[in-house]
Amino acid sequence: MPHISLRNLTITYGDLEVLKGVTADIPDRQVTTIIGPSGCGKTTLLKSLNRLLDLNEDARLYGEILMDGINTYGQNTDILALRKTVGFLSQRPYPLPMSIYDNVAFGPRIHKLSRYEILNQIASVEKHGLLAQCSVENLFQMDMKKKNVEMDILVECYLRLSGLWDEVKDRLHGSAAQLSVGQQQRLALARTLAVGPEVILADEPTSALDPLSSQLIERQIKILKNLYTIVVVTHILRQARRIADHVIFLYMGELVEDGPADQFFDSPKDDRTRAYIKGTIS
Amino acid sequence: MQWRYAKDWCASVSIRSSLILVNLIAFIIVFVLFMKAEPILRIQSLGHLLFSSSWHPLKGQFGFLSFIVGTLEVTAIAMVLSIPVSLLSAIYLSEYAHKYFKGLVRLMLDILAGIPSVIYGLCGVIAIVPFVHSLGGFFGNPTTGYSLLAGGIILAIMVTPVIISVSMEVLAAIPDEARTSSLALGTTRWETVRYVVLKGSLRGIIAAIVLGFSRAFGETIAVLMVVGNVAKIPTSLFDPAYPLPALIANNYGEMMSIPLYDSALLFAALVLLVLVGAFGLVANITLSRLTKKGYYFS
Repeated sequence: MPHISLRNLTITYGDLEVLKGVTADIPDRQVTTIIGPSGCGKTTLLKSLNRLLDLNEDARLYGEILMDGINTYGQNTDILALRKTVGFLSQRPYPLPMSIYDNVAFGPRIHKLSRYEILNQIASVEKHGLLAQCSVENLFQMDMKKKNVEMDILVECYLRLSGLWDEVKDRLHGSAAQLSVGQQQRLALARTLAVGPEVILADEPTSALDPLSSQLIERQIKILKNLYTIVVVTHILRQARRIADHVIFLYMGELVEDGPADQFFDSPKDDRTRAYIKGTIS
Repeated sequence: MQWRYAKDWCASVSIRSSLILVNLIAFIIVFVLFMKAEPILRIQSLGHLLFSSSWHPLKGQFGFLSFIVGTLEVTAIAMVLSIPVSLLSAIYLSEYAHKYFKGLVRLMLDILAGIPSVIYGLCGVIAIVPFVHSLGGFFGNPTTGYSLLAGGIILAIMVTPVIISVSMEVLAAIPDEARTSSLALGTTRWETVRYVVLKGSLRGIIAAIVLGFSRAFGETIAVLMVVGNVAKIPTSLFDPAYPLPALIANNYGEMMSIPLYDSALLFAALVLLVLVGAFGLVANITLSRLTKKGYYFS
């Protein structure tokens, strides 16, 4: 499990300083929410964690992001391996232009995971008893001589884990684009989980969804934190209260306060935090 | 109040009638061509006209096969040369290039696409014909340089900017979330382009190619200037050819005293029109098949 630490992280877009010397730790196997008003650098911070920030030509980063003590912005970083370890869920889900099944299988196929690796990955999920009613024994009783049966198992496993299985099990080979936006977001979650990450980043994952779909995503996040380190950016304070174990509060690019959720919401130390929680600044 | 309803009525009538007018013109063209080509069709069978290559207007022999073959071959050469280069360029510009460079190239492409075809023809005569001439010498195939290959190359050069700019728009229409979602799984840039961006924009890319094809098919002046214009089925790339548009442009208005010549040329025009139309139709059907079969296009 990687332990993520930000050390004096400063990020600029041209002349604009978006993050100003942020130093914080992200605890393992908890839900960390990054909150703050829009434009305070939440998404930028999130994208720097798996180096999706590299796609932005204007962005410059100073300081360090340590994962298990190793700077991910060092010269020898294998970006593909980093992104495999640190998954990302975007604000608006984008189903890849293929079937539901292939969406989930896409990552494992690209990474050419062997049957052994796939079954191992699933077994480690099963160990936590997260595949309710799925019973991996049943899955493993499938005909193991069948070609690509491990991929079938993987797809079912992760669709269950993202809470989508029951809705799509009869049309796995149908279009992913025909799912509702809420279902697409859970498909994106399954797709992200399928490559076996250890950290999941989510950028306002419910902002494009209806209340019911949002609730489903929040429920999955709470379940998944037993297995993964989860970082959620949100501008909805109530959502942060519902799901957060740990909070990082950014204001105008500065880290104002961070700490365990109870402490943060019940006895904030900084005036700006108090004002934000009360709703007097936004 | 009445006045507003009247204006609304006027608007719907005028927009509808402009559309009808535009379509009517297409029908009129086909109709006139058919009427004018009808005398030759009455005398010679359609099969003979299309599949005979004997072209001796003075003897009353009008076989169009060599012209049809010439048209198809010149266009095919152009597409084979142009499609890979165009698509790779479009991918580079849309997925890899810096935005300032992209803007610069877009400007250049617009200029290239706007150059009159006669100028391309001149460049062909000055540069490509001698090039093909020496290429033919190199391969032991003596040629004047005025050949099928020269025509194909000049067409490829003309069509490339069109295919690049249309494909670029198509690729740009794929939302950034698509790339982010794929890259976030640990894919390389090329894997993302290949499995996500290209797959998602297949429809548009086919449309871009069809557009380039239609342009190449009907292009007249530039081809006419370099292709040699000999009414014989070409047997090699270095042989001259005689595409349909060149035939019409070279001869209509001259030698009209020869009986049925006028009618034969208009028949050629009709064949050209039908070929372009048929190609468009096939492309359309293919596209809708793809859409029905696959969920590839969101």
